[in-house]
Amino acid sequence: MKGIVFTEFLDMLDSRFGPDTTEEVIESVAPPSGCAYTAVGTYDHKELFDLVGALSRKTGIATDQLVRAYGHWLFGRFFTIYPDLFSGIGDSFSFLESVDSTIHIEVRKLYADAELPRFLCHRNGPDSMIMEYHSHRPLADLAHGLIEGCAEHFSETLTIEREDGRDGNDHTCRFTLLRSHRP
Amino acid sequence: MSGTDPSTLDYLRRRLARERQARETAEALIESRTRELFVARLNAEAANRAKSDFLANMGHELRTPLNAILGFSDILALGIAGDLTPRQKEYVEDIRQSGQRLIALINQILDTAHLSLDQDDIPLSPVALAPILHEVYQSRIARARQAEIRLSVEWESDQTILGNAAALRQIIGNILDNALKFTPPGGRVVMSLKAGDSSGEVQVTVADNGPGIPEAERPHVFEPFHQISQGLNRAHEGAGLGLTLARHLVTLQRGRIQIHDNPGGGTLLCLVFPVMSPEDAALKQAP
Repeated sequence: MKGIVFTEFLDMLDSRFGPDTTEEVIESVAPPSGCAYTAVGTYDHKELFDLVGALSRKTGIATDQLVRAYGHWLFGRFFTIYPDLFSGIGDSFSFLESVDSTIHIEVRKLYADAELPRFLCHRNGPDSMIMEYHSHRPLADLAHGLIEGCAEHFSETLTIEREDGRDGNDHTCRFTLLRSHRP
Repeated sequence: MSGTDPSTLDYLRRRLARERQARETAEALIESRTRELFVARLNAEAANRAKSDFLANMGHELRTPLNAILGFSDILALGIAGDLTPRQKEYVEDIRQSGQRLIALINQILDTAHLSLDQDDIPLSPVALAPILHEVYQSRIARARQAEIRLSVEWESDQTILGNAAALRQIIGNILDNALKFTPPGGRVVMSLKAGDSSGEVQVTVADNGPGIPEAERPHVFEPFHQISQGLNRAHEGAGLGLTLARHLVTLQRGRIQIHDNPGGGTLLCLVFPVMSPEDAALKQAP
């Protein structure tokens, strides 16, 4: 998993829970990398799960909620770090469609080794879309949070229904998105 | 630091250690990537050289048999090898014309590929434009007559620019070929040389009364392999490289190329170059 997911997670911990909590979580997990993450590096995704688990034990918040909240937060950070990805895109559905068709292609140009989830989008109408998540990592909650962050970024109201599943070794999730408000 | 909580100091130290380690990791990654890029650049340069060599060889290999086809069809057409029946003459003329089209196309493709690969500047020297226009006119007049197109060339006074005579012949030739290609029998193509709209500039124009270039197509006509509209595409041959090459060569000579509607219908292609200044002349004379 790319280092940016880890560096941003630690930044979220600092920002939302304070540096003391971050240090305690790191100390309790003591991952092989020592949490000396760099955004351009690649690390074992299990370290992220261990950090989330430790945070959950410390705060009493369920891991799925933490991961989802992280996804929501991460989307806002993507806008700050990569504003070019948003160029010419005016709504959440268009952005979500661009994840597989444009963004992941650009990511692979920089990081040929990146193992990226797949997001297949099918529009059912102007305000209705199915988004199918496929990954060998169980991170549908992160995708859920990213979709929420995306809706918030474009000042839209989305109702998100999800159906988790498996496809062989892959984790899948079918998100049904209904848009009830757009500016 | 005496007032700082020891636990705060402790985690600051740990953070600093992590940051250092992350920086070292990032530096190692940058070094490794830089090495990979260096090797990739060497490979790309070698591939580029191989491609240039291949193009040069292919140019020779393609032109040699074609020249034989053209030469022997000329001999047959002139009756040197004996008299031909009218039908045989017709067939020989078909071979000759197809061969000429093919060699023009091969030259265009090879020139464009060569320029896009290697050439980002060309030698410039003072060039009088009127003789170039006259040469291009002479080389196309027979073809224009055959296509029943009135071709004319006009200028009031000659103009000199800092350019490349061979490149100018190729640019104006390509543009004129396009004009002749798209002008119907009975049509007219006019080449002209005159002072530019702005002082210190000179214009070479080629006007035809063909179908014209739709406004929406104009931004794309200089793209490699672009063909104007599918309908016409089938009726007119070419690689779609002539204007790409022309624009490239014009730019290398400090000029620009513009497309306008011809007032009488059709297309007016305009080349604009700066007239050679005394400074240009002095530069060229400098050792």
